[in-house]
Amino acid sequence: MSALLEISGIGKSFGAVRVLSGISLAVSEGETLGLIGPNGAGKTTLFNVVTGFLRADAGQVRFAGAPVDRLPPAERAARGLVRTFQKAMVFPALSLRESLAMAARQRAGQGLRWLGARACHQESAARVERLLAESGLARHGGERMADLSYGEQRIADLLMALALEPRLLLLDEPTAGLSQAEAERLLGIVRRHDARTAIVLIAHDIDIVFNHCDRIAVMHLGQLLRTGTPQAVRQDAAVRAAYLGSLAD
Amino acid sequence: MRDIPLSRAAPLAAALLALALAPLLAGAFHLRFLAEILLLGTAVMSLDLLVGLGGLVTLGHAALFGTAAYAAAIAALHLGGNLFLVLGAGTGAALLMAALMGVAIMRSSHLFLLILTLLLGQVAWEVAFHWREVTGGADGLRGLPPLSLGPWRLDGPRALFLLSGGLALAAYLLARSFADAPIGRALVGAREQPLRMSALGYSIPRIRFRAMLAAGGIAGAAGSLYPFLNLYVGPQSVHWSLSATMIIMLVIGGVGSLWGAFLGSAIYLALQTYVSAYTDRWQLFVGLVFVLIVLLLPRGLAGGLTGGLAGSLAGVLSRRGRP
Amino acid sequence: MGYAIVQTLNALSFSALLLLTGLGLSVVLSLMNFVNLAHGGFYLLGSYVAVLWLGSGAPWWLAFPAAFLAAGLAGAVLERFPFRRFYARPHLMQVLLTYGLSVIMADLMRWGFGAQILTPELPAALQGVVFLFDMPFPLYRLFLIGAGVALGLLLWLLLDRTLWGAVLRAAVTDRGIVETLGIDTRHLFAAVLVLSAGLGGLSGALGAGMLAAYPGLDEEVLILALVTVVVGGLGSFGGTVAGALVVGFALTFSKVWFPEFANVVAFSAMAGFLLLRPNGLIAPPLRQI
Ligand SMILES: Nc1ncnc2c1ncn2[C@@H]1O[C@H](COP(=O)(O)OP(=O)(O)OP(=O)(O)O)[C@@H](O)[C@H]1O
Ligand SMILES: [Mg+2]
Repeated sequence: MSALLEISGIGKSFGAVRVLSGISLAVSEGETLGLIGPNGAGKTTLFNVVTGFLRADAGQVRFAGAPVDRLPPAERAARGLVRTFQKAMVFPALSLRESLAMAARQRAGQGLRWLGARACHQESAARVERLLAESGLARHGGERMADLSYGEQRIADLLMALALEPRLLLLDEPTAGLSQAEAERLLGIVRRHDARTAIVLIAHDIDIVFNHCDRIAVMHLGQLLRTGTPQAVRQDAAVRAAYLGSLAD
Repeated sequence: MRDIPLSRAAPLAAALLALALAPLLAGAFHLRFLAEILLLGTAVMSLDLLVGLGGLVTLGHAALFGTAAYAAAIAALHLGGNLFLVLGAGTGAALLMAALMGVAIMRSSHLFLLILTLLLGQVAWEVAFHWREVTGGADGLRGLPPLSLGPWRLDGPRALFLLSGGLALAAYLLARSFADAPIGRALVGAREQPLRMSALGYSIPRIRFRAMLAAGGIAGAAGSLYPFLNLYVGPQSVHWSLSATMIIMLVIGGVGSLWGAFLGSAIYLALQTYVSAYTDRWQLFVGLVFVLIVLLLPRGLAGGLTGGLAGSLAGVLSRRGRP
Repeated sequence: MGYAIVQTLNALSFSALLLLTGLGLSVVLSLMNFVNLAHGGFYLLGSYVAVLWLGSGAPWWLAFPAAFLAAGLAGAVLERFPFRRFYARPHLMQVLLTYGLSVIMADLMRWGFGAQILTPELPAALQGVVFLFDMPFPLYRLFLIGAGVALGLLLWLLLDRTLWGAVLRAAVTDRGIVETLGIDTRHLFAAVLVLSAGLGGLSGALGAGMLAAYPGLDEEVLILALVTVVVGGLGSFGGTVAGALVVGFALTFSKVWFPEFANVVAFSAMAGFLLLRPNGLIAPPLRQI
């Protein structure tokens, strides 16, 4: 059985700085993969390459059996390869409900409709309300994104991604800056929403990664040091030296 | 959805009333003048779709308007002034031009977009200015047949006014529906957070292209009728300075409000017409008014009016809400 | 052969003018992120000052500093109010403000200097033609090329090689840090704007011998300068030089080869270029993501 996402031999440089070299990685349907590594390891850059926001210098990305290297980001997202950004990226002037509707309409293939607007709005409304209910943010549906708390904005950001019904969700430090409880809440929303969604989760909080992920990949200086089960990674000497150090003891 | 329906229905009713009353009250000169305000205002409103919703500041809008004007005039010269023929020819030509510009602006933004649209617009102007056999060159085209609809000739000031008013109203409703539809929301989203929109699966180039087509179609419809106000069309209707004038009108009226476009075009044309009767320095006046508005009312008169109104309303409500 | 050289020199002299005008724009754009559409007004002011000066009988070479000072003064006034408040505003608002001001300046100049075309009385030293390969070439244009190269070089040295330039570039990157060093960045930015305006006036003075001075010229020059800066990729010094050469040669040679449709060809070529390279010739590495 082939994997949902297959990355092979990805390389990327900015000028003379080599940020990714020879990264190969596979993610299968429904699994949760943790991606960890020190600051500047290249995790976000890998996301950017996989989702099409940056073009790789070398290597290939296949999604759901087809190469996607030449597709623009929007096209990849439309196929179910969905990401969030390291900084919460919301529409400050739109309400939470409108923001989610923006995503829901796109999922329904009605994002650019002009005629029949009323039907589109009604159709997306049901999906939006379900998401709001699932996340416990229903009370805030009418508030402007800019007026939400930071934790709520991060959840809203995630909900926009979930509204697309992704097959693979790439989450770039969704829990950064959140309390332990808020982080657990956010990850709970992801899991409850649809257990079949595959997830790649970047996080610096080791406990979160080890508790929530089936497998873990460790990056360091643009290279993939190791992939394996949480136990295996925890015990790996190279990983300890590079990153975990005394943290894991 | 944020607006209260009343706030939308009331101005619309007022506009309808004004459209109905003006032919009874105003004389021939003023009716023609109002018709010009309405047609230019319609074009400016279509520009607002690009600038106000999409943040796409173009300096080529006159090319859409003027292309339509020329196409309509040429069609009328050769085939007669049937209203639907004229509208069809002008709008069709503007849509073609808009498709070209839409492709051009897919990937650029900010100053690049400004200059790119300016260059394309100036190419259109050069063609209008130099292709004498077809466009009449610097002299433009005179002696157009009047507009007609079946047995009726639509060349009286009253007919022209009502025609322009009907067109402006239809265009306003169309633009409003565009702004409220998914495509309008997507255009706003693409302005606010382009990266997030791409990550949500929205194709920014496609959004921009469609916005340009919508704006071009509306500007084209207005441009088609424009030559028939004075039975003349000249190259200045394509020139970039008309594009700049449209931006001035839009800013005076209020970016993003749609109806402010009509206010802006009325104020600009009134300044031009009435101040120039007293002094040669009317451009100085326009410049001063414009700069003052940019300094004091960045959302234009429309924004100032509704902002002031909504602001004081909100103030009253919040005061009442407080314990 | 001679013809080709003369046309190349024509293009170069036009490029030199575009470079000087474009540099004034790009200096404030790259260093202060400020779009100044009133720059055409500074240019035309410089042209008028030079024409009047050259007609007055005063030493001719002082016309250029006089134009620099006059435009620089206008720039200083506008810098205090209202430019200064708009440095941190979005480009759209800057475009609107400065365009409005350019309309006002244009009408004031039409009022003050009249609506006719004014041509300067060039001093004997700059009049006449030289023969290159038996082809006559106006001496003034050679002077323009020299002035463009010299002033461009001077500006580059000033911004790239002096302490003042270094402080300036530091202030652009991080205003806060520079202020903690006790340097008032407001003065710094004001100085840059005055320099840019003065440069606009100086280009106007130099350009008057080639383009004369008349109402509307401000807009024509502004647009060409904008195209230059934009084609060059907004802001980098090398980009502006490249942009000036591209635009200067495109406009000159399209007139040679397609006299009927010169501008159509030149504008289409530039638009096509911007379609292929939406960020211009030399795009500063912008990190979007
Ligand atoms: N667009 C870019 N241009 C230039 N350099 C970049 C760009 N994006 C990333 N880099 C550099 O590439 C390296 C890897 O960055 P990246 O953001 O991928 O790291 P990361 O693993 O996500 O780190 P963090 O945990 O801090 O988010 C860094 O040195 C960064 O400065
Ligand atoms: Mg990162």
